[in-house]
Amino acid sequence: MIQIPQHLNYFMIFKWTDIIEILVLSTFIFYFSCWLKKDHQKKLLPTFYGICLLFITTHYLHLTTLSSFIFSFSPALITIFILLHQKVIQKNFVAAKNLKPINLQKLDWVQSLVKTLLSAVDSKKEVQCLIECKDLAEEFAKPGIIVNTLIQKDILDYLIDSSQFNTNKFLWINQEGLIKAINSEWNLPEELVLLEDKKLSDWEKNSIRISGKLDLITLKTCSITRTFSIIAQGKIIENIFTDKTINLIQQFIKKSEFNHTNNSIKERGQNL
Amino acid sequence: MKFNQIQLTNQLTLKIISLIFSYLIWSILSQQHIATIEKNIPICFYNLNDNFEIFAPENLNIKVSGTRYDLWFNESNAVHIDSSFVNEEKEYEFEIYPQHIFLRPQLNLISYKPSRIKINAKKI
Repeated sequence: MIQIPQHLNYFMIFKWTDIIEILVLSTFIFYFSCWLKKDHQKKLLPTFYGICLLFITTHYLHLTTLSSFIFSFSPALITIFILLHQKVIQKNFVAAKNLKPINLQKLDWVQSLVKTLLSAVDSKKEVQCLIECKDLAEEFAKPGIIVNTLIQKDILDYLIDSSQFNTNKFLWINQEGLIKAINSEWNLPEELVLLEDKKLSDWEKNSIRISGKLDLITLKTCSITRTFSIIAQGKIIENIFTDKTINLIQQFIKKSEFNHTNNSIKERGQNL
Repeated sequence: MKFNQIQLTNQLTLKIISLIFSYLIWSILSQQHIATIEKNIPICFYNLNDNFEIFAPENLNIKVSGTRYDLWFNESNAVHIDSSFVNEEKEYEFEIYPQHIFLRPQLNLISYKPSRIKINAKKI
């Protein structure tokens, strides 16, 4: 066994392993101090040294309870130092800033959709359309022909003009402007179908009932008046013109997006 | 001088402070740890007849275990031998027993060598 110089015994150092332990501990303290030093907002380094000094002083003054208390809470204190460090705070700040802004979602596709539907009206085609907002309609709708493509006027024109297109069924779109399917049908449980109000069509009845439960919009064109009827949140708005239709659809989608983002932020806040 | 005026940013200062703090913290935390050390302790003779002088080994190698704090305080230990048995000029063989080795009661004596020493007594 390698002997260490005898005079080191006066420092309570009896073996080489003791020197290694001290060096490892001092390396840790040194790098932690260097890291704390980089914080220019708060004086974390003097505070850290102050706590170390307090621990040492309380021990040598035989303030055992206080010394044990500081020692027991040392992991929590180190965590607090790490959390309070400027860099970590900055990271959290950047993460918070990276939330998806609600206004950035492009809703140009609404205009293309409404204009295409209006063109279809010229050909005496009344098109029904389901627009998903934050809820998915998978459970209540059955896709006819799956398309899965982003709305473009040419594509939409082509789809509506095609011989396969069935005006009794509906066009299924999501809030990002993706055409999910054409010739889609409702797939509702029996109790959801309302038949009391004879004035409303099946499409309207089903739309009112579904939109009251799910976050979605339905849209239908009227070839006689060249207007649209929108059903959202269980309410029907009839005979509205193109511009207002575009505005209303965009507002519904934005509101839905806004509510969803607010809920997400609240949930994140509760989780933190 | 105020604390913030001290050049804490200096790498060397940080290194020295870190070393001091690490040593102090290490010594506090390790005080109650059990350690084993080997050391040489002096052999002392008492009750020696004034007409004789003796020649014997000066040190005894012992191996003890205990807390670091007790080991640290155990600096003044030694082997104490009553040399009143020396009454003629010859070579004595003396068996050392643990009771001859004065240690703090908190320490455990694990081993020592030599266990038997030769004492040469000469008349003055």
